[in-house]
Amino acid sequence: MKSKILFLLFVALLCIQGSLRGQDTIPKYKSHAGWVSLGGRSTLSLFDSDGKGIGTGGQFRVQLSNRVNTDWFADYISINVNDKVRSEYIHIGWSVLYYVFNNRQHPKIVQPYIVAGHCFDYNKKTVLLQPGINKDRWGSAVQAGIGSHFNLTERFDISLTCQYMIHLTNELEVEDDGTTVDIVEHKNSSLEGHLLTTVSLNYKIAKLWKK
Amino acid sequence: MEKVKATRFTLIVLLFVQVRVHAQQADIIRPGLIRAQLTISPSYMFGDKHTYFYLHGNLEGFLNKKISVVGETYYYLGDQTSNNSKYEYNHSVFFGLSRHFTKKNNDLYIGLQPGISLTKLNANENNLTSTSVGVNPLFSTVVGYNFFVNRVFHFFVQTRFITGEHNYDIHQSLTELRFSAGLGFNLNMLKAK
Repeated sequence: MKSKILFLLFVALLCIQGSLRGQDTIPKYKSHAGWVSLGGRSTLSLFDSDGKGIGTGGQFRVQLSNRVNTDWFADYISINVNDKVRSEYIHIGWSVLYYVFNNRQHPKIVQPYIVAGHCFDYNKKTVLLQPGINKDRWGSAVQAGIGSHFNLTERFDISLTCQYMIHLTNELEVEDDGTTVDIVEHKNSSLEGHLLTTVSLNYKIAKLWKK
Repeated sequence: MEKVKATRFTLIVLLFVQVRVHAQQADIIRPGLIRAQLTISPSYMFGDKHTYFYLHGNLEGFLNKKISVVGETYYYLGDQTSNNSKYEYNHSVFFGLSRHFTKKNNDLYIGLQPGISLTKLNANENNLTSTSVGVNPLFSTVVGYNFFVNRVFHFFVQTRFITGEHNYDIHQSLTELRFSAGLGFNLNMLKAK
């Protein structure tokens, strides 16, 4: 057991050493196209009919040109509905980032962009004290908004994005008459959604094509 | 007599530490520095006004003097306020980065770390027949200070503000302030340029 822990620690240190060796400086290329970034994110969900919630997830980016980047993400958001129901969202999707200004990479700190995209959207609602009463649905959604990278080093950035996501599917609603709580599905698509504010941490790990 | 001996011993230790610091001030905080620590961390949870304890471990790597990537875990140890804890457990894992403000061996930092908690309520204390395990998204910010004594160890203090919710069985706010302090270990994995 002891030797296994030591071995795992050794492997972890080796991995970290490898990533540190890459450091935060990058070779000079004519184009920024081809950079792949990897990172984690926290999301605050507001103005949802369920209430506000916090989410955690991750993403990777593939930059297509100096002005266009793509963001591929997955989020898990949990929302408390009036202390009676848990509403869970899973978003798996992608967005296109268009940089408003040219040449705003590091050493310039602020790199603003507009963002729009699509995602697959899973929602499950569960009555807290009676987990047997639950309903879920898969759907599709589109999102658009604005954001900015804050380039801390050549490889590292923190990004703040604010976007509104509209669900293109039948929503699940909580029906509470004071004595019983039930989950029902809307018969029509209501185009409801939520405002998602995301803080993400991103690290450029590789350049897929070198130009 | 014992007191005098103890004082002498403390002075010798302090002198030794000071000599080591002067001898090795050159560039401990630089790209490739890895630091790790394990400590007992008390906390204050705003929702139920209870004090909890965690076994707190972290591993951090410096990409340059200003930026580091860090992973941290908290293993729930129990409730100090009450004999019967509201939680059976409330473990958590965080991953993120920190921005460091360094001067010689002093390192003040702030950081952002998304995370998740693995939480289960205590059924008896919450008047429930049974409880289920919840995976809850968390968001945390950290402020801390490290003093690198030499190339091997450092002292640290850290405060973490966590926000999140446990939405299983009964809604519980997981908004919490955690404190950590102690002795950590560090190692320079890359040669100085």
